[in-house]
Amino acid sequence: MSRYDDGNEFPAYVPVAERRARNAEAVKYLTQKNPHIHPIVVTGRTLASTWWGQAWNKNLERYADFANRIGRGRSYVRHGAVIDLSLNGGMVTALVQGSRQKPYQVEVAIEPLKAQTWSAIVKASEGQITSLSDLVQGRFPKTLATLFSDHGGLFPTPAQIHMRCSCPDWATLCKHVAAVLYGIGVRLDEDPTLFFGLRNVTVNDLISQAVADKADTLLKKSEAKSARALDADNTEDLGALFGIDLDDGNKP
Amino acid sequence: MASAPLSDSRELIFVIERSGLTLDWSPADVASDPEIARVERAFYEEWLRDPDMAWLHAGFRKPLLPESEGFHFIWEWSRQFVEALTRVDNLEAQRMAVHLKPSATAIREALSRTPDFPGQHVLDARWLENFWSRLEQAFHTEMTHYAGTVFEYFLAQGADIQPQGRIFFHLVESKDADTPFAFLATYAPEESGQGRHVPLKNALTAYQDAPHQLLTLLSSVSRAAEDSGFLAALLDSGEIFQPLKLSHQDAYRFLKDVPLYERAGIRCRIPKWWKGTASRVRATVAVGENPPSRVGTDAILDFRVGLALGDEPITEDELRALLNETEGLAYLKGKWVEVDHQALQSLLETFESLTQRADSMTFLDALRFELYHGQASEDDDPTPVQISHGAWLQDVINRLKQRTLDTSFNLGPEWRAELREYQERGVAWLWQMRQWGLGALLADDMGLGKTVQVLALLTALRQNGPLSALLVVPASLLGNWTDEMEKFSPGLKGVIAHPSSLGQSGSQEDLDDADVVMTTYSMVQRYDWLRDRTWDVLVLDEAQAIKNPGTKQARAVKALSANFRLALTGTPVENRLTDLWSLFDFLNRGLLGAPQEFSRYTKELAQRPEGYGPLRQMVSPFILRRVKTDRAIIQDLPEKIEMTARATLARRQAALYWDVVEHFNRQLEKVEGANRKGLILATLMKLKQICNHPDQYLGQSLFDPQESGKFERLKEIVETIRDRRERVLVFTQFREMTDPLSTFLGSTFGRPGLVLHGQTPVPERRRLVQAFQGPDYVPFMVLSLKAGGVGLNLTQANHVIHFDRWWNPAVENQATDRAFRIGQTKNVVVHKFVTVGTIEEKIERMIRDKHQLAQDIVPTLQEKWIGDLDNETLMQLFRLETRESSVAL
Repeated sequence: MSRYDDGNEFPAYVPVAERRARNAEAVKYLTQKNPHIHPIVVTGRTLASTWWGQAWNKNLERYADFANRIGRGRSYVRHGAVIDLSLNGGMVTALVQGSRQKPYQVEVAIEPLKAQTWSAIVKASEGQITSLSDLVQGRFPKTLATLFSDHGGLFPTPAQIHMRCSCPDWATLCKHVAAVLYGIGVRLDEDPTLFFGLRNVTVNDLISQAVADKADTLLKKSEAKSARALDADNTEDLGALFGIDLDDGNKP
Repeated sequence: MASAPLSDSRELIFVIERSGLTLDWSPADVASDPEIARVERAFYEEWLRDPDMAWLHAGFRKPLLPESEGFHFIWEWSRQFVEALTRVDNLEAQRMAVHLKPSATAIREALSRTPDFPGQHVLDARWLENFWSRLEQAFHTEMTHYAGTVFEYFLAQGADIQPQGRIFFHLVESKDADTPFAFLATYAPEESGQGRHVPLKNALTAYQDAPHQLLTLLSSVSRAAEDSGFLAALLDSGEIFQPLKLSHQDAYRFLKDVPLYERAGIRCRIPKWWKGTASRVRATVAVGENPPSRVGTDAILDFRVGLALGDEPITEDELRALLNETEGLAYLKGKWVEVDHQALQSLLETFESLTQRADSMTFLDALRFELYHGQASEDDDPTPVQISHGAWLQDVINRLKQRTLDTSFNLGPEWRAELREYQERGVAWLWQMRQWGLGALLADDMGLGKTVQVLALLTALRQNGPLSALLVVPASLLGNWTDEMEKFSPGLKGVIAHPSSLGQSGSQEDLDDADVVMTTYSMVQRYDWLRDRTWDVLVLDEAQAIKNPGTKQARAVKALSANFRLALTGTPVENRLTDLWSLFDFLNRGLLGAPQEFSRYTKELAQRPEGYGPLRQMVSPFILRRVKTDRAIIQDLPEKIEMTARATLARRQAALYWDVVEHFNRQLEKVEGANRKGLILATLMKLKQICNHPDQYLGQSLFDPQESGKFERLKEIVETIRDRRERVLVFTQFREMTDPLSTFLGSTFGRPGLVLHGQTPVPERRRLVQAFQGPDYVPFMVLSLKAGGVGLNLTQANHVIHFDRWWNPAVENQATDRAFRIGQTKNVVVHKFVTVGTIEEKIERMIRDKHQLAQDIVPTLQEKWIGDLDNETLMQLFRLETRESSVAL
């Protein structure tokens, strides 16, 4: 899908610079009324630079329902047409500057992650202790990529995305909604932790559950007595053998 | 004139200042590798934002710029801080309260490795301590803002080391014969005091409600298990949570992986013998018990080879028996020994090859062995060969390292100069190096008198018998050497091997009765017969001329044969490793190995924590370098040093000079009275202009530096000033010279300077002085003598160059005093330019000879006195004197 396919809706060609200027003007105007607006700004040459943003966009583009129409959102978001976008859990509200004076209102609602999918992901994370520790520091460990994105993973299917736009054309995934969907990707690029909220789950859940499961597994393993286990009558003797002050961890 | 392209041929330099450290760009001879350039730029920008933070962050990672000595030194010091952080007990609890001080040993070691970089003289224990406290501040700032744990912070920094965590692995010897070792993993509970341990298994239940803490604990084990197969198996089977009996094979696998565990932040308590040399077999070499029959780098030394386990000698058969044991640990002579087949095999080969060469160990080989391997301390020396020196060699090495001097030289009655104390030490050092036949590099700072020290050495050698010395110098310095030799040691007979004195086909016979033969680098290539004899002494002045080993010039010089080789340089050579190699290839061929071997060695050093320290220690016995600012070494240096910088007329300059003098000669007969005086003064002015640059005389604006001997000489001096990051004042009496000089200096320094002359408005002058005296590095100021000679305070400069001369010492001294006055903290070096063979040199000689008269005559020189000279005397004064060296070819 080419981005010059806007022919019908832009009868007169509007140069990019003019569009950008118009969008910037809209942001300025809106800011006067509401200082809390949060426009989507694309600075680099690509829409997304982190794994999160890229995976989000890739997920959108692989569905046939979207593939035909979503491309039009790219240039929109790139030129700054999404003049406000806020995420609140799975609820996304946005303002998009179209060809009319007044910006269109867009709403996107994303369904919470199915409990079944979530517990499968938690289960699989158990073996990835170092990756989880990386995740806690805000780095994205490659080992989790497959886990999070395979078979949908954490990402929503088109059926799980509900959208609405105040433009006359919204029933068929208008470019305003498309722009907002890409806008979400940009926002995830800025702050990946928002993603978990989008699906109504938390990183802490993931960590706590995965770590607790891991501890359980390890505990079970540790019960199986090894053939080369050292026989020690008590903690004190063991400490003496190793020349350390050993106790069982209970406070005296 | 083309200015230096700054973008692709600059390097980041590190300048030590009393209060810290500055980074700056300096022009480089060669374009730097684009990847290095990128890293330099990125680091520079990070440093601009927050210097201390940039160094703290650098300390977490591998050295970014391993080739840069300055960077490596500071990085290493930052790295030691980070390493000290990792050793702090329970760093997480301390965080903002952590307080670290470098140990006295660490400071001493760091100071012994200081590379020769600008401002190095202010680097002392206090500076190093302050640097740590600034890193500590930066770390506190980070900890204030960082929400995660310290452990996470280290990971987020991309650190390749981890702070000591709370997990311990213990390995001890047990009484059981089949499983002679025992293993246990524990953790230190957070609230516990020193030394309390709990089995790791208990952590699984104790931290049930604190998943993040458990994650931190477990992730360090997981991380270590990613690299260590042994640990991965223990973790997988759950055995890690039980005390275990280990066979010696298992214990060996565990011990081999200890560095991996430690890097992940796990503390390991293991038997002492593993870390030292006690469990490893090494070859021992005893060399040089007796003096060789004759000294020199190729003298053969006596040599004994053996094998030892720890301190105990073992036989070759015992070593072979060890090779038959399975890989791991073996019990031999009451202790555990590491059986690493590959290492033992290569040790056996080393041992055999050492045994074979027992009769061919040369003095140089022994030195190489010592220098490559000798500095590691007994305990952690990883090399499988242990060298011990016999009495004679030990004595030589001690004396080399401590620079014990041989003062038994005698300068004889014809020596005319008074040596300063440090110069006397320099001569004694050269004398001693010659006794041993070891090539020496005299690298004293400009102005400390390298020439006079060399002349003293030659004079002393001449006292002992016939001498044949060859001096190779840049053409522009032939005049200097001749003059100084005449002045200080008139007893030495010198000859110049140059077409201007020998003719194009000069031959060896011309040199037979000379004590000292002087020639230039280009003549060494032309006169093959210089290679036909073995010189007693071979001296290279400005030896950086051979720094590029591939050039014809370097190859020709290295083909010369001599018993004692001496190189002189005023620029810090230690900073460029390949330059160093080429110089030592001349001085002591083989000491630094073949080029490939050397580059492998330096790459390896870049990876080592101690950096290039070993290399510096290796070459330092052969280098004597004193810097002017080093008052500890040079107490008796005057605060102001005056030097004559002799330049040689370039070809075009000489031609123009002839023309003007010929024209003058014809006119002189025809004029009288006021006209005669006018003609004399005008001619004088023209000759001075030609000496400066032909384009000044011709009124052209190109000013190609190669067309003026003075510009060439200026470049040599200024490059040294640049490398030391000092500042210079350049005085000229011609305002029209200020811009060409400024352009030329700007391209040599790689950054602009300032110009002040009569037309500079007064408020602007004040601003220029402030800029020059300010904290930013402004390398030079060009001043016209009249405008800049009085009143200004320019004490940031410690070099003064009088590019052309007013012939009035009072005026020149007044100008010099812009820098040499209250507020000056360094020694001031004054360079007075003189062009050899011209009116400039003749008037200078006249002033020197008639010092009494000078004060009276010279101020009025141009007014009256010169007008009173008769025609013949005038022509003598003006005519170009074609001494051997006065024209560069």
